[in-house]
Amino acid sequence: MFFSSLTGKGNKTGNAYTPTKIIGGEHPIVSTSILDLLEADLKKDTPFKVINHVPSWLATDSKDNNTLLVKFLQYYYDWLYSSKDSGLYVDDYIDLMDIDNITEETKDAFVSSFIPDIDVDGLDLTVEQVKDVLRAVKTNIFQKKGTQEALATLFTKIFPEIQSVGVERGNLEFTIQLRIVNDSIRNYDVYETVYKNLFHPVGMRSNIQIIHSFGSEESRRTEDTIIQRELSESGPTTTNFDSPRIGNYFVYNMNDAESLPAYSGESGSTHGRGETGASGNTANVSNLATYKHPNWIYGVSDGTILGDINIQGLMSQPLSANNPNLGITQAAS
Amino acid sequence: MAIPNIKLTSLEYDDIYKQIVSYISTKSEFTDYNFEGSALSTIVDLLAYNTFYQIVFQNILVNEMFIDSSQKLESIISHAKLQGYTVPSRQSSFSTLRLRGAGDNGAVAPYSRIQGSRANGDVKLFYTIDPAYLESIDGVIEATFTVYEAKNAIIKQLIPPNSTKQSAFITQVNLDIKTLKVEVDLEGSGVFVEYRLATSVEPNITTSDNVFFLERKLDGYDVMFGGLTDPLTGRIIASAINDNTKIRVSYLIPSGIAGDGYSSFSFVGTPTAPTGYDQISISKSTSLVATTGVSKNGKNQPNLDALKFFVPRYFSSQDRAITKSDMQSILVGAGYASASEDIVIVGGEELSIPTLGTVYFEIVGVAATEQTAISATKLLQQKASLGISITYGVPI
Repeated sequence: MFFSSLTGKGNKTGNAYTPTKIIGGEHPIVSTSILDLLEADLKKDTPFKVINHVPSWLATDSKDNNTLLVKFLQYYYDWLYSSKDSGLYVDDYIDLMDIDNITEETKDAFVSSFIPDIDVDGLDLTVEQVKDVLRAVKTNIFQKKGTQEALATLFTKIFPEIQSVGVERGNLEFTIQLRIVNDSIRNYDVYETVYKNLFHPVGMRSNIQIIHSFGSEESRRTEDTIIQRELSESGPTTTNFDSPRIGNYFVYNMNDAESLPAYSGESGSTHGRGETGASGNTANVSNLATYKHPNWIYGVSDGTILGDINIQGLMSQPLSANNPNLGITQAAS
Repeated sequence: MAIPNIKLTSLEYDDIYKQIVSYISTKSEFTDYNFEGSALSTIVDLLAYNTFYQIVFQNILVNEMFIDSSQKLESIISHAKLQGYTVPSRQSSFSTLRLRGAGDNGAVAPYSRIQGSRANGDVKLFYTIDPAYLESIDGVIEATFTVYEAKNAIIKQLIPPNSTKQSAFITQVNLDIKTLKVEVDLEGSGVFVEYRLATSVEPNITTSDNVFFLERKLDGYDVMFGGLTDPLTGRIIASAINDNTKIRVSYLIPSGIAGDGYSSFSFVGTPTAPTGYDQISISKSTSLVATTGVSKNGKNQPNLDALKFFVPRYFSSQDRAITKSDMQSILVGAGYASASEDIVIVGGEELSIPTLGTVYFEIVGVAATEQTAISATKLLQQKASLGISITYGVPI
């Protein structure tokens, strides 16, 4: 019998007995004493020492290398107490409730127990995301519910593809703009469901607008929108700006364009500011002449009308080699 | 959506057996062994069973650690406590009554007894918990009030304070917490002040607020007072009680679901009047009519699934009525309903002709004229955003 061969047979009531056989006794590895094993266990910090829980005669047998049963059981408990091997959790159970110890197995339980409203199809949070959201959930999300800050915190934490969240406000209605970069956009319903479950103030009308684009183009659009929003909140609105129909020379003084050849398009009437175009042409605010500018590189053809230009667009015109103002020499007055 | 039970590891016996064999067979002493042999196989069998039971126990333990996977009410009560929600126990069946022909003025004192009958002759006692006043409505003198079924009514019972723990213990687990009233005489001067039930998610409670918190225990309820320090902010919460403080509580102990279905009501004797008011007069022309049909909504114990649904949402609301979910959980938390299906909420933006800024809601089976509807509307209005108007009744 394996059991007897592992334990050895003998007079268990007496002080001494002769084992009939030591299985593996001739194997060099088996000569490892139980003390060595225990020492190794100490190094591994095994919490359960079998040798301390078996009858003394068995412990003695084991120390004398007369049995492998203790070693066998010790291996079993090594396996059992190793979460990695057995999957049995043997540390402090309460640690499992610590946000820092969330695992793949427990993350859904955390979500369902604290933020069940984001448990929606199409949204699979990583362990790190769950930790991140849970840390912020009370003070930065729930307690600030109804604010743009809370909205932005939640959306940017659980949807990594969302770069920023903007809100266009009206009277009891608003539009939420989710700016998404790269190609990892999800189904619209996912964003909408999370919003409606967790944030939508009932009684108000809202809609979600997804602005999805790629790379640096997005950065510029975001900047434009921020400028527009700031202007609308704290300064003149876009309708308060001059948005004249202008020719490309109109960014500087009319008299500075003396050396530029004029092309067709002028009507001959006097410009609203009372200035007269170079080369004797007078400009009309509704149909200004277009000049071929020496440094204009944006594909404007000679003699065409530029059409409406939002003057805000000029505010961010970079001072680079592409700037049409470069190369113009002021004319003598 | 309820999550499946948490499994930290496999519960399959064969898998466990194979894992043990696989692990030990890698050890040099046992590489040559035949684990299929009868002796070794028997030992591994025993060890696999031992492991199996430990894993079963572990999985039970881990599942009870989270509200969504808990199976035991005791675990859910503990989780709810963590999220500021007091789990109710038994709940009274209630009915709204309209009193007419009882004089031109007068009022009915709280805890007046009313007998409810069924067609089969069964009788139960119902109680008012708030005073009801006769008043002229469209030229008719009447009073409308809600009555709650109870096996026992405990009225102004003194309970000893524990100034060290800043609490007092009610040794009754079956009380209906929505009928609980707590009055406190802080310095023992004989002047009692009624305290309001607060929750831990309620912001800005100060030492001058007369509030108490309620914590459910296995054998009763702990009424917690202030004087406790918030460990996070260091702020002292509400006013403290001391050894001279006198605390008295009033509550009903209901029959639960057995109190449902009573429709014929009459006063037991002539009810007393609140201080400063005349007693009503009972005569042949007095009518006491249930305006909402038979008594209903009695509960023997809370529904575990409903608790799992509402407790985290109650925490999420932080005592503010912003979203539909917030409103539902506030109403359930206050005892106006016990399941989300009992509450209908429609935002004005959802109507074919939108009425922005208005929220319509309805508790199934509760008419707009009932006291329950009126107080629920008031509750939501208090917790809703400025600019939002709460209206009882959902437009068709």
